[in-house]
Order: sequence, then C-alpha cells, then structure tokens
Amino acid sequence: MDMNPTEIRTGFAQPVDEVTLARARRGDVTAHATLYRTYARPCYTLAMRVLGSSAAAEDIVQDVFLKLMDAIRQYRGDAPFGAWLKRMTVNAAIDQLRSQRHIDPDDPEPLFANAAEPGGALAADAYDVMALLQRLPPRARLILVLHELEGYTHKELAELFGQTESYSKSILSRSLRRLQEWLRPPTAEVEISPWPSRS
Amino acid sequence: MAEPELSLKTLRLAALPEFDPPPQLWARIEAAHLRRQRRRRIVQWGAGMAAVLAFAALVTLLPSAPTAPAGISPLAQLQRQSHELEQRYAGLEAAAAADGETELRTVELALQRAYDRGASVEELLPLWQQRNEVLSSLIAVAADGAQLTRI
Repeated sequence: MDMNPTEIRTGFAQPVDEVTLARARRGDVTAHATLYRTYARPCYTLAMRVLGSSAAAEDIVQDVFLKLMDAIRQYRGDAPFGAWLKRMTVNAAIDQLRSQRHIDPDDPEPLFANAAEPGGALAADAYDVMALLQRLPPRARLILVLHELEGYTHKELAELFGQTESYSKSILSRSLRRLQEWLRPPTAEVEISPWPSRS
Repeated sequence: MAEPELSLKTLRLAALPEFDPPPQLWARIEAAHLRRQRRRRIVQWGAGMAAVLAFAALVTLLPSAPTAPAGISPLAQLQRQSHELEQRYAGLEAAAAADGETELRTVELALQRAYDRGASVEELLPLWQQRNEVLSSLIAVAADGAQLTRI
C-alpha cells in the first residue's frame, strides 16, 4: 500500500514506537497506558459501529486491552501493531454478537427478511447515520463496517466468516441498497383531480 | 449512463462519527488487570503448594525397596538383584541347608561355564534367574529354619 510519509495516520493505522512495544511486552503498565491512549478511540469506535451500544462497546475495549496485555508477548511485529489490534477488536465484536445470538443465518436471503423497516423513507436531513446503520441486521452491519470503513477486502471477509467472497459481496450490496432505499426522499404523491368539464 | 457503484461514499454516509470511550474506562481496565494478576498468583502459589505436598506424599508412601532405574537391561537387573540377595543371605546367621548350598554352587558353575564360552544374553538370563531363586529359597530357609524342599 502506498503511504505518503508525511501523512498523519489515524485510527488503527497510527504507528507505535519499538521502545513502547518492548516495554509493553515486559508488562510495563505505563506502556500499556500509552497503547490505550493511542488505540482506545478506534477500538471503541469500531465496536460502537458494529454493536451500536456504548455498554457493549466498553466491554469490547476492556476485553481487547486485557487480552492485549497478555498476548503482546506473542506479537512478533509481522503485521503493523494497529492491524493486529484491529483483528483482536473484530474478533471480540464477533464473539459478542455470537454470545447474544445476533449472528444471523449464513444464507444471505433470510438475513434481510427481519431487518427493521422504517415507517417510510427518511428525509435527508432527518436521519442519524448511526441509527440508520443499526437498522441493518448485525452480520450485514459488521460486513458493511469492515469493508467500507475498516478497509477489509472480500477475501479477508471470506476468511473471517468461513464463507466465499461472493457471500460478503452479496450481503454488502444488499446492505447498501437497503440504506439507499431508506435514504431516498419520499416521493410526493400528487393527487390528480379530474379536469373540470365545461358545461 | 451506468449507475455509480453503491458505497457509503456514494450514499454520503462515509463520514460516520467517531466515538471516545468514557474517561474512567482505562482505570477499570487497569483494576481488572491487577485483579487478574493477583488471582493468577494465588492459583500459581496453590498449584506450587499442591505439587510440593503431592511430592512429599509420594516420597512418604512409596515402598523403600530400590527400583531399577529406567533403561537398565534385564540381565543387569537380575545381576543387581542377585547381588542384593547374596548380601542378605550372607547377613543371616542361621546355617544354610546343605542341599540348597549345593544347588547354588551348581548354578554358579553353570554360569561360570556359560561366561567362559561367551554365551549369549538369552542363555545367561535363565541362569541368573535360577541363581536368584535358589538364593531366595536359602534366605527363606535361613530366616525361619525350615527345610529346603525343591521339586
């Protein structure tokens, strides 16, 4: 991936220096706190987008950072640290959805059958983007967030869900179409009155 | 004209808000981490103590008879056993039965001849076994004054 060296990286793409990593591996709490300050926001944001609840997102951040403090000894630096942490966050979010039995059937067809139907399309200035996202079925939301916002490829999604690439492509396209429908401004119904007849 | 491919960008939804975790969350994580470390230390200490107690119990309860170290050959095992029996028999004060002594000498002579002609282990094993049996019998006789009767 091309990266402009002067570009300020945000979210999980933020770099972390080797000294902090080495200290964190030795169990240094100050280094753990530095990692938290760097990555807590992207981790919490990802969890909020997928789970839609602040309590659930806090649980995810807590789980991920507790796991990080143990697992960092095994981190060998093959992938960027942020990517490694993102993967942990995604796995924790999937686990949480599974534990709440919110991971929907594998078949994309019934996935959208029970998706919340708004009472008509929303006016463009009346929607809350997050609320709109939460109307999607959890698995569809997860795929949409990972692909569109976190840069996961369909190949990576296929590996993550143990499905084919066409599976995530199909769910993504349905999710986007559904969002488009919800965003379409309501068409004004014009009552056609009969042309007055000349008597 | 072909429709543009749907994406959050084309839907103008790409600018989703970002969220900050509550400020007290790190303190909670740190406290949970410390609690977990303490629990682990207790479990480790408990496991260590259990291992020490189990080892002590093993040492106390195991029979004091010497056991052959792992990997020792059957022949060496029989020789070692024979040597131990010999020492035990020599330590007994009671007079040995003449028949038994004669039998022991016969076995020892057979062993000596076998070694002289470079006999194989397979040939030596039953002779050593025989020597041990005779020695065991002699020890038993010497211990309770009974007569040695071999059939």
